[in-house]
Amino acid sequence: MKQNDIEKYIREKVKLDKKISPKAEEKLENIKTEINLQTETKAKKIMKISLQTCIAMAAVFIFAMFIGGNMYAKSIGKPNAISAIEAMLKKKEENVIEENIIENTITNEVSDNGKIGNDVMTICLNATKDLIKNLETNLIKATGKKEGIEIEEYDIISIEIKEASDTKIVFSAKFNIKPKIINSLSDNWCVGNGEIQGDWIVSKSQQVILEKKNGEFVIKEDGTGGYTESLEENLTEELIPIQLFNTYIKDGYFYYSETENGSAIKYEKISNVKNIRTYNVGTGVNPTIFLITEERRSISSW
Amino acid sequence: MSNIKEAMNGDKEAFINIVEEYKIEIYKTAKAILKDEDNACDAMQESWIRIYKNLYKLKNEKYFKTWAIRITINECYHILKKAKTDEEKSNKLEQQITNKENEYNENKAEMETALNKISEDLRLIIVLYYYDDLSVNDIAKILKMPKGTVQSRLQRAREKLYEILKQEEVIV
Repeated sequence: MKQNDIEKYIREKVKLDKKISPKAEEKLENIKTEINLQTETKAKKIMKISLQTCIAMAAVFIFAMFIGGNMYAKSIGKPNAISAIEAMLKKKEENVIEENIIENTITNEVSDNGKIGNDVMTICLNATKDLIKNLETNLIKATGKKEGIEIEEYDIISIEIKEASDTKIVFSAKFNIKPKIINSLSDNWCVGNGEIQGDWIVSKSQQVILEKKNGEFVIKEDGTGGYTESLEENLTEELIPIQLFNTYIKDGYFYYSETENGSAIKYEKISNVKNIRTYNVGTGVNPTIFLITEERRSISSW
Repeated sequence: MSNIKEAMNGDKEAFINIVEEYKIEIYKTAKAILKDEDNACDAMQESWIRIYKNLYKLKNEKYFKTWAIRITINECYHILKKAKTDEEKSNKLEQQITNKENEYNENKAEMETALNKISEDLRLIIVLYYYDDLSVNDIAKILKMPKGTVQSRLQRAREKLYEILKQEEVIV
């Protein structure tokens, strides 16, 4: 029989079998009920109003804006509402940080005064951009491939400052990256804490420690394993532990295999491995390898 | 607006429509990996809950199907790993699978019986390609393997499945 006939034959058989069992159907009904019972959080509500009501609401809004604007003007010593709005916009401009680069909200949890917060945020932003550039270099080194590794686009989603002083800044950054050809990453690339969505790897996060050297903040350490004491604390329900087999260290290199009977392959030179754990991060199929050092920080996850 | 987009905005009714639309793909994927009906149903249920909870993370609605299938595959592997780490549970699971297999063999659909006779890696490729209607490219991305490997496995799986189905026809 020709290949085309086999294909047609199988498709016909599949068509007859495209159904689910009564038990699965029952489970699905349970899921639907469960979803319906959950509190509605994000659902959009549509409110229908008449034209008259709409005009009345607009008039009330304009009146309130006029009164409010004049009261605000009076409070800051400006003659009228327009000059007060001008003053407000000017103040806002001073606080804007590289708005063209960041598409999404940046969260700054530093409770210091605004000026220090903004300076720290700018430093962290620049360090994050450097990190993304470094990521590209690391990938080329790790995979031995140049083609397709180049990071074509990126979005910085958020920066969370955990600690900030004159000499040290600790922060975590969350970002999305778009490698030129995502397929070329398939064999050697660990998605790390990101998640492949089409051409993008989204929600990658990096923990960073900056230290002041010669008057400038430079990256002292960075990694995805988390800055806090315990890696486990950073795990979410999405992270599923997966066992590695045949792990051993020989001549300073770490060896492992993914299956019980598989032969071990050389992974990376390390000298201070304390523990080895793997997690299936995000929705990636293959596990990401975490090598835990004395400091319980992941040293080789990307 | 599509159901996926509406569900991403928190519309529960739209999500229920999605469940209806993709129920076969998710169930068949779980079944391809786990074989056992009870475990496949559990994996399917858990996957849908995860999909519901994490839908807001999806960047683009067009990736929904591959994303959802990947979550299902993960959930199945999780169930398998969990069973493997606990020897007692594993033995029990194996026993359950054998019992269930005997039980189902009597009523099982022709295609399902044939699918259960091929190895897991080939079975999964068949399900992803024919039942889930995914392209070779998408399968390669989901399973993190080169496109060439997917193509050759698909070819092998197709021939093997055809052979088994034909044999069954002769027996009937």
